[in-house]
Amino acid sequence: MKNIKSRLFNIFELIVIILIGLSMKIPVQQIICLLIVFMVVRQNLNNPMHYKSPYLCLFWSTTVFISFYILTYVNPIVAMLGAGFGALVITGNADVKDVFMFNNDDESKYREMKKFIENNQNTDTVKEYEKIVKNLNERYKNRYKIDFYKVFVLKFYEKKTFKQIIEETNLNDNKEVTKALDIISMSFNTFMQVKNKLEEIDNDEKTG
Amino acid sequence: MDILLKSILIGVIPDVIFLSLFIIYSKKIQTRRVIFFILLLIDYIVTLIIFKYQTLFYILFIVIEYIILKLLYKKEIQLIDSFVITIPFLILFLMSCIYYFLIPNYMLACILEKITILIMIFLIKNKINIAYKTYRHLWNRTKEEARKIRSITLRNISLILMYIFIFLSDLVCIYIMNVR
Repeated sequence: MKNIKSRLFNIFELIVIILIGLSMKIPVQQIICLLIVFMVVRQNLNNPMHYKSPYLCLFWSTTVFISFYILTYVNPIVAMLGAGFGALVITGNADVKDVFMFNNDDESKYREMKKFIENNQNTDTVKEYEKIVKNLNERYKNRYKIDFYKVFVLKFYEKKTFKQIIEETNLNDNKEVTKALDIISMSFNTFMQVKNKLEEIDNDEKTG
Repeated sequence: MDILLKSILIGVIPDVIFLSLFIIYSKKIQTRRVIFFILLLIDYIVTLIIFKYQTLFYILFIVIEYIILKLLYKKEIQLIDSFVITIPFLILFLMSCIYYFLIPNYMLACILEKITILIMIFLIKNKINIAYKTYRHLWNRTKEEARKIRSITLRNISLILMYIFIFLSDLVCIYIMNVR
Protein backbone atom coordinates (compact mmCIF):
# COMPACT_ATOMS: atom_id res chain seq x y z
CA MET A 1 0.00 0.00 0.00
CA LYS A 2 2.81 2.34 0.97
CA ASN A 3 4.56 1.49 -2.28
CA ILE A 4 1.44 2.32 -4.31
CA LYS A 5 1.11 5.67 -2.53
CA SER A 6 4.72 6.47 -3.24
CA ARG A 7 4.33 5.51 -6.94
CA LEU A 8 1.22 7.66 -7.24
CA PHE A 9 3.08 10.56 -5.67
CA ASN A 10 5.97 10.10 -8.13
CA ILE A 11 3.53 10.16 -11.07
CA PHE A 12 1.89 13.31 -9.67
CA GLU A 13 5.33 14.91 -9.25
CA LEU A 14 6.22 14.01 -12.84
CA ILE A 15 2.99 15.56 -14.16
CA VAL A 16 3.65 18.76 -12.18
CA ILE A 17 7.19 18.97 -13.59
CA ILE A 18 5.95 18.44 -17.17
CA LEU A 19 3.15 21.00 -16.75
CA ILE A 20 5.60 23.60 -15.41
CA GLY A 21 7.83 22.95 -18.44
CA LEU A 22 4.89 23.40 -20.82
CA SER A 23 3.83 26.60 -19.07
CA MET A 24 7.39 27.90 -19.60
CA LYS A 25 6.93 27.15 -23.32
CA ILE A 26 9.59 24.45 -23.40
CA PRO A 27 9.01 21.97 -26.29
CA VAL A 28 7.70 18.56 -25.13
CA GLN A 29 10.65 16.73 -26.72
CA GLN A 30 13.10 18.77 -24.66
CA ILE A 31 11.15 18.20 -21.45
CA ILE A 32 11.18 14.45 -22.09
CA CYS A 33 14.89 14.47 -22.97
CA LEU A 34 15.72 16.37 -19.74
CA LEU A 35 13.67 13.93 -17.68
CA ILE A 36 15.30 10.91 -19.33
CA VAL A 37 18.84 12.27 -18.91
CA PHE A 38 18.20 13.13 -15.26
CA MET A 39 16.59 9.78 -14.41
CA VAL A 40 19.09 7.61 -16.29
CA VAL A 41 22.12 9.33 -14.74
CA ARG A 42 20.59 9.27 -11.26
CA GLN A 43 19.63 5.59 -11.42
CA ASN A 44 23.05 4.53 -12.64
CA LEU A 45 24.97 6.19 -9.81
CA ASN A 46 25.52 5.10 -6.23
CA ASN A 47 23.53 6.35 -3.24
CA PRO A 48 21.00 8.76 -4.73
CA MET A 49 19.90 11.28 -2.06
CA HIS A 50 16.22 11.62 -1.07
CA TYR A 51 13.99 13.80 1.07
CA LYS A 52 11.89 12.01 3.65
CA SER A 53 9.10 14.55 3.32
CA PRO A 54 7.14 14.29 0.03
CA TYR A 55 6.39 18.04 0.10
CA LEU A 56 10.09 18.92 0.29
CA CYS A 57 10.78 16.42 -2.47
CA LEU A 58 8.11 17.98 -4.69
CA PHE A 59 9.32 21.53 -3.98
CA TRP A 60 13.00 20.87 -4.68
CA SER A 61 12.41 18.57 -7.66
CA THR A 62 10.29 21.21 -9.38
CA THR A 63 12.74 24.00 -8.48
CA VAL A 64 15.69 22.03 -9.83
CA PHE A 65 13.77 21.25 -13.02
CA ILE A 66 12.82 24.92 -13.42
CA SER A 67 16.57 25.68 -13.39
CA PHE A 68 17.04 23.06 -16.16
CA TYR A 69 14.21 24.66 -18.15
CA ILE A 70 15.84 28.07 -17.72
CA LEU A 71 19.03 26.58 -19.17
CA THR A 72 17.15 25.48 -22.29
CA TYR A 73 16.62 29.18 -23.07
CA VAL A 74 20.42 29.45 -23.23
CA ASN A 75 21.06 26.25 -25.18
CA PRO A 76 19.20 22.89 -25.18
CA ILE A 77 22.45 20.89 -25.23
CA VAL A 78 23.79 22.86 -22.26
CA ALA A 79 20.49 22.07 -20.49
CA MET A 80 20.94 18.33 -21.15
CA LEU A 81 24.48 18.44 -19.79
CA GLY A 82 23.17 20.49 -16.86
CA ALA A 83 20.52 17.83 -16.11
CA GLY A 84 23.18 15.09 -16.17
CA PHE A 85 25.45 17.13 -13.91
CA GLY A 86 22.52 17.91 -11.59
CA ALA A 87 21.69 14.23 -11.27
CA LEU A 88 25.32 13.49 -10.42
CA VAL A 89 25.55 16.21 -7.77
CA ILE A 90 22.65 14.83 -5.71
CA THR A 91 24.12 11.36 -5.32
CA GLY A 92 26.81 9.89 -3.09
CA ASN A 93 29.25 10.09 -6.02
CA ALA A 94 29.55 13.83 -5.41
CA ASP A 95 30.48 13.36 -1.72
CA VAL A 96 33.65 14.98 -0.51
CA LYS A 97 36.26 12.32 0.15
CA ASP A 98 38.53 12.78 3.14
CA VAL A 99 41.36 14.54 1.35
CA PHE A 100 42.64 17.90 2.48
CA MET A 101 45.03 20.23 0.70
CA PHE A 102 45.61 22.27 3.79
CA ASN A 103 47.29 21.12 6.98
CA ASN A 104 44.55 19.43 8.93
CA ASP A 105 46.65 18.26 11.90
CA ASP A 106 44.41 20.00 14.44
CA GLU A 107 41.56 17.66 13.49
CA SER A 108 43.69 14.54 12.96
CA LYS A 109 42.74 11.49 15.03
CA TYR A 110 46.42 10.69 15.59
CA ARG A 111 47.60 14.19 16.61
CA GLU A 112 48.58 13.26 20.20
CA MET A 113 50.52 10.20 19.12
CA LYS A 114 52.21 12.13 16.32
CA LYS A 115 53.26 14.91 18.69
CA PHE A 116 54.50 12.48 21.34
CA ILE A 117 56.65 10.50 18.90
CA GLU A 118 57.98 13.71 17.39
CA ASN A 119 59.12 14.95 20.82
CA ASN A 120 60.39 11.59 22.12
CA GLN A 121 61.76 9.88 19.02
CA ASN A 122 64.92 8.33 20.48
CA THR A 123 63.60 7.55 23.96
CA ASP A 124 63.25 4.02 25.35
CA THR A 125 59.44 4.28 25.38
CA VAL A 126 59.19 4.93 21.63
CA LYS A 127 61.84 2.30 20.84
CA GLU A 128 59.97 -0.23 22.93
CA TYR A 129 56.74 0.58 21.15
CA GLU A 130 58.50 0.28 17.80
CA LYS A 131 59.42 -3.31 18.74
CA ILE A 132 55.78 -4.01 19.56
CA VAL A 133 54.69 -2.74 16.14
CA LYS A 134 57.32 -4.99 14.53
CA ASN A 135 55.96 -7.99 16.44
CA LEU A 136 52.37 -7.09 15.61
CA ASN A 137 53.37 -6.77 12.00
CA GLU A 138 54.95 -10.21 11.87
CA ARG A 139 51.89 -11.73 13.50
CA TYR A 140 49.06 -9.96 11.68
CA LYS A 141 50.53 -8.70 8.42
CA ASN A 142 49.00 -11.49 6.33
CA ARG A 143 45.69 -11.54 8.14
CA TYR A 144 45.00 -7.81 7.70
CA LYS A 145 46.97 -7.47 4.44
CA ILE A 146 48.63 -4.41 5.93
CA ASP A 147 52.31 -3.73 6.60
CA PHE A 148 51.77 -2.05 9.98
CA TYR A 149 55.44 -1.31 10.61
CA LYS A 150 55.90 0.40 7.25
CA VAL A 151 52.76 2.50 7.73
CA PHE A 152 53.97 3.43 11.24
CA VAL A 153 57.39 4.53 9.98
CA LEU A 154 55.97 6.43 7.01
CA LYS A 155 53.34 8.28 9.05
CA PHE A 156 55.12 9.00 12.34
CA TYR A 157 58.83 9.09 11.46
CA GLU A 158 58.84 10.27 7.88
CA LYS A 159 55.62 12.31 8.25
CA LYS A 160 54.25 11.21 4.91
CA THR A 161 50.75 12.14 3.74
CA PHE A 162 47.96 9.62 3.09
CA LYS A 163 48.58 9.92 -0.63
CA GLN A 164 52.32 9.18 -0.22
CA ILE A 165 51.58 6.24 2.09
CA ILE A 166 49.26 4.77 -0.57
CA GLU A 167 52.01 5.17 -3.18
CA GLU A 168 54.65 3.48 -1.04
CA THR A 169 52.60 0.57 0.34
CA ASN A 170 50.16 -2.00 -0.98
CA LEU A 171 47.21 -0.01 0.44
CA ASN A 172 44.66 1.09 -2.12
CA ASP A 173 42.86 4.10 -0.66
CA ASN A 174 42.46 6.46 2.30
CA LYS A 175 40.07 4.05 4.05
CA GLU A 176 42.74 1.35 4.22
CA VAL A 177 45.34 3.83 5.52
CA THR A 178 42.86 5.00 8.16
CA LYS A 179 42.19 1.38 9.16
CA ALA A 180 45.94 0.73 9.58
CA LEU A 181 46.51 3.94 11.51
CA ASP A 182 43.50 3.30 13.77
CA ILE A 183 44.95 -0.09 14.76
CA ILE A 184 48.43 1.40 15.31
CA SER A 185 47.01 4.32 17.28
CA MET A 186 44.89 2.08 19.54
CA SER A 187 47.78 -0.28 20.18
CA PHE A 188 49.96 2.73 21.08
CA ASN A 189 47.36 4.04 23.51
CA THR A 190 47.03 0.58 25.09
CA PHE A 191 50.83 0.36 25.39
CA MET A 192 50.99 3.77 27.06
CA GLN A 193 48.18 2.85 29.42
CA VAL A 194 49.96 -0.36 30.45
CA LYS A 195 53.07 1.71 31.06
CA ASN A 196 50.98 4.21 33.07
CA LYS A 197 52.11 6.94 30.74
CA LEU A 198 48.85 7.79 29.04
CA GLU A 199 48.76 11.25 30.62
CA GLU A 200 52.14 12.06 29.10
CA ILE A 201 50.58 11.97 25.63
CA ASP A 202 48.02 14.60 26.59
CA ASN A 203 50.65 16.76 28.31
CA ASP A 204 52.84 16.55 25.23
CA GLU A 205 49.95 17.61 23.05
CA LYS A 206 49.19 20.61 25.23
CA THR A 207 52.79 21.82 25.39
CA GLY A 208 53.57 20.98 21.74
CA MET B 1 47.32 45.80 -31.18
CA ASP B 2 46.84 48.67 -28.78
CA ILE B 3 43.29 47.53 -27.96
CA LEU B 4 44.40 43.92 -27.52
CA LEU B 5 47.21 44.95 -25.16
CA LYS B 6 44.88 47.20 -23.16
CA SER B 7 42.30 44.42 -23.00
CA ILE B 8 44.87 41.94 -21.67
CA LEU B 9 46.41 44.35 -19.15
CA ILE B 10 43.23 45.92 -17.81
CA GLY B 11 40.75 43.12 -18.42
CA VAL B 12 42.26 39.67 -18.58
CA ILE B 13 45.19 39.78 -16.12
CA PRO B 14 43.27 41.26 -13.13
CA ASP B 15 40.42 38.81 -13.78
CA VAL B 16 42.78 35.83 -13.83
CA ILE B 17 44.60 37.08 -10.71
CA PHE B 18 41.26 37.32 -8.92
CA LEU B 19 40.02 33.93 -10.11
CA SER B 20 43.26 32.11 -9.29
CA LEU B 21 43.69 33.81 -5.90
CA PHE B 22 40.14 32.90 -4.92
CA ILE B 23 40.84 29.21 -5.50
CA ILE B 24 44.33 29.42 -3.92
CA TYR B 25 42.97 31.08 -0.76
CA SER B 26 39.88 28.90 -0.47
CA LYS B 27 41.78 25.62 -0.78
CA LYS B 28 45.01 26.95 0.74
CA ILE B 29 46.99 25.70 -2.25
CA GLN B 30 50.70 25.66 -1.48
CA THR B 31 52.20 24.12 -4.61
CA ARG B 32 52.24 24.85 -8.36
CA ARG B 33 50.57 28.24 -7.93
CA VAL B 34 52.47 29.87 -10.80
CA ILE B 35 51.71 27.01 -13.20
CA PHE B 36 48.06 27.21 -12.17
CA PHE B 37 48.02 30.97 -12.83
CA ILE B 38 49.71 30.62 -16.24
CA LEU B 39 47.39 27.80 -17.36
CA LEU B 40 44.38 29.83 -16.23
CA LEU B 41 45.65 32.83 -18.19
CA ILE B 42 46.05 30.72 -21.33
CA ASP B 43 42.60 29.21 -20.76
CA TYR B 44 41.06 32.69 -20.38
CA ILE B 45 42.70 34.13 -23.49
CA VAL B 46 41.94 31.11 -25.71
CA THR B 47 38.28 30.77 -24.68
CA LEU B 48 37.87 34.56 -24.94
CA ILE B 49 39.22 34.57 -28.50
CA ILE B 50 36.87 31.73 -29.47
CA PHE B 51 33.67 32.84 -27.71
CA LYS B 52 34.12 36.60 -26.97
CA TYR B 53 32.18 36.85 -23.69
CA GLN B 54 29.27 34.72 -24.84
CA THR B 55 27.64 32.35 -22.35
CA LEU B 56 29.65 29.43 -23.71
CA PHE B 57 32.79 31.36 -22.73
CA TYR B 58 31.79 31.16 -19.04
CA ILE B 59 30.74 27.51 -19.24
CA LEU B 60 33.82 26.38 -21.14
CA PHE B 61 36.16 28.44 -18.95
CA ILE B 62 34.72 26.86 -15.78
CA VAL B 63 34.99 23.36 -17.27
CA ILE B 64 38.60 23.91 -18.41
CA GLU B 65 39.53 25.48 -15.05
CA TYR B 66 38.18 22.38 -13.31
CA ILE B 67 40.21 20.15 -15.65
CA ILE B 68 43.37 22.23 -15.00
CA LEU B 69 42.87 21.91 -11.24
CA LYS B 70 42.21 18.18 -11.58
CA LEU B 71 45.37 17.71 -13.63
CA LEU B 72 47.51 19.73 -11.22
CA TYR B 73 46.11 18.57 -7.89
CA LYS B 74 44.40 15.27 -8.80
CA LYS B 75 42.55 13.68 -5.85
CA GLU B 76 42.38 16.91 -3.86
CA ILE B 77 40.01 18.39 -6.44
CA GLN B 78 36.50 17.01 -6.21
CA LEU B 79 33.07 17.73 -7.64
CA ILE B 80 32.28 20.29 -4.92
CA ASP B 81 35.07 22.47 -6.35
CA SER B 82 33.13 23.09 -9.56
CA PHE B 83 30.79 25.22 -7.42
CA VAL B 84 33.71 26.92 -5.67
CA ILE B 85 35.07 27.88 -9.11
CA THR B 86 31.71 29.44 -10.02
CA ILE B 87 31.63 31.77 -6.98
CA PRO B 88 34.46 34.15 -8.09
CA PHE B 89 32.86 34.20 -11.53
CA LEU B 90 29.55 35.21 -9.97
CA ILE B 91 31.33 38.00 -8.04
CA LEU B 92 33.12 39.17 -11.20
CA PHE B 93 29.89 39.10 -13.16
CA LEU B 94 27.94 41.09 -10.55
CA MET B 95 30.75 43.65 -10.21
CA SER B 96 30.97 44.13 -13.98
CA CYS B 97 27.19 44.62 -14.18
CA ILE B 98 27.16 47.14 -11.33
CA TYR B 99 30.04 49.21 -12.73
CA TYR B 100 28.87 48.91 -16.33
CA PHE B 101 25.41 50.28 -15.53
CA LEU B 102 26.58 52.89 -12.97
CA ILE B 103 29.51 54.47 -14.84
CA PRO B 104 28.94 55.52 -18.45
CA ASN B 105 32.67 55.63 -19.29
CA TYR B 106 33.51 52.01 -20.14
CA MET B 107 37.27 52.28 -19.55
CA LEU B 108 36.84 54.00 -16.17
CA ALA B 109 34.22 51.45 -15.13
CA CYS B 110 36.55 48.63 -16.09
CA ILE B 111 39.54 50.05 -14.16
CA LEU B 112 37.44 50.76 -11.04
CA GLU B 113 35.93 47.26 -11.18
CA LYS B 114 39.34 45.57 -11.36
CA ILE B 115 40.71 47.70 -8.50
CA THR B 116 37.66 46.80 -6.38
CA ILE B 117 37.92 43.05 -6.96
CA LEU B 118 41.66 43.00 -6.24
CA ILE B 119 41.24 44.98 -3.01
CA MET B 120 38.31 42.74 -2.07
CA ILE B 121 40.23 39.49 -2.55
CA PHE B 122 43.05 40.70 -0.26
CA LEU B 123 40.57 41.88 2.36
CA ILE B 124 38.63 38.61 2.50
CA LYS B 125 41.50 36.20 1.91
CA ASN B 126 41.41 34.69 5.41
CA LYS B 127 37.65 34.35 5.45
CA ILE B 128 37.48 32.46 2.15
CA ASN B 129 39.11 29.34 3.59
CA ILE B 130 36.82 29.39 6.65
CA ALA B 131 33.77 29.69 4.38
CA TYR B 132 35.12 26.92 2.17
CA LYS B 133 35.67 24.62 5.15
CA THR B 134 32.10 25.25 6.35
CA TYR B 135 30.70 24.63 2.87
CA ARG B 136 32.72 21.44 2.60
CA HIS B 137 31.64 20.32 6.07
CA LEU B 138 27.95 20.76 5.20
CA TRP B 139 28.29 19.08 1.80
CA ASN B 140 28.28 15.43 2.96
CA ARG B 141 25.38 13.69 4.66
CA THR B 142 25.68 12.90 8.35
CA LYS B 143 23.52 11.52 11.12
CA GLU B 144 25.96 12.52 13.84
CA GLU B 145 24.91 16.15 14.24
CA ALA B 146 21.83 18.31 13.70
CA ARG B 147 22.38 20.89 10.99
CA LYS B 148 20.59 24.02 9.92
CA ILE B 149 20.73 22.96 6.30
CA ARG B 150 20.55 19.48 4.81
CA SER B 151 23.24 18.23 2.51
CA ILE B 152 20.81 17.64 -0.36
CA THR B 153 19.28 21.13 0.06
CA LEU B 154 22.73 22.73 -0.01
CA ARG B 155 23.54 20.82 -3.21
CA ASN B 156 20.23 21.80 -4.81
CA ILE B 157 20.75 25.47 -3.94
CA SER B 158 24.32 25.40 -5.31
CA LEU B 159 23.10 23.80 -8.52
CA ILE B 160 20.20 26.24 -8.98
CA LEU B 161 22.44 29.27 -8.32
CA MET B 162 24.97 28.01 -10.84
CA TYR B 163 22.31 27.61 -13.54
CA ILE B 164 20.72 30.98 -12.77
CA PHE B 165 24.18 32.55 -13.11
CA ILE B 166 24.59 30.92 -16.55
CA PHE B 167 21.16 32.18 -17.61
CA LEU B 168 21.76 35.73 -16.33
CA SER B 169 25.17 35.90 -17.97
CA ASP B 170 23.47 34.94 -21.23
CA LEU B 171 20.90 37.74 -20.85
CA VAL B 172 23.54 40.35 -20.05
CA CYS B 173 25.81 39.18 -22.90
CA ILE B 174 22.92 39.54 -25.39
CA TYR B 175 22.06 42.99 -23.96
CA ILE B 176 25.65 44.26 -24.14
CA MET B 177 26.13 42.90 -27.68
CA ASN B 178 22.95 44.71 -28.80
CA VAL B 179 23.81 48.00 -27.07
CA ARG B 180 27.30 48.07 -28.57
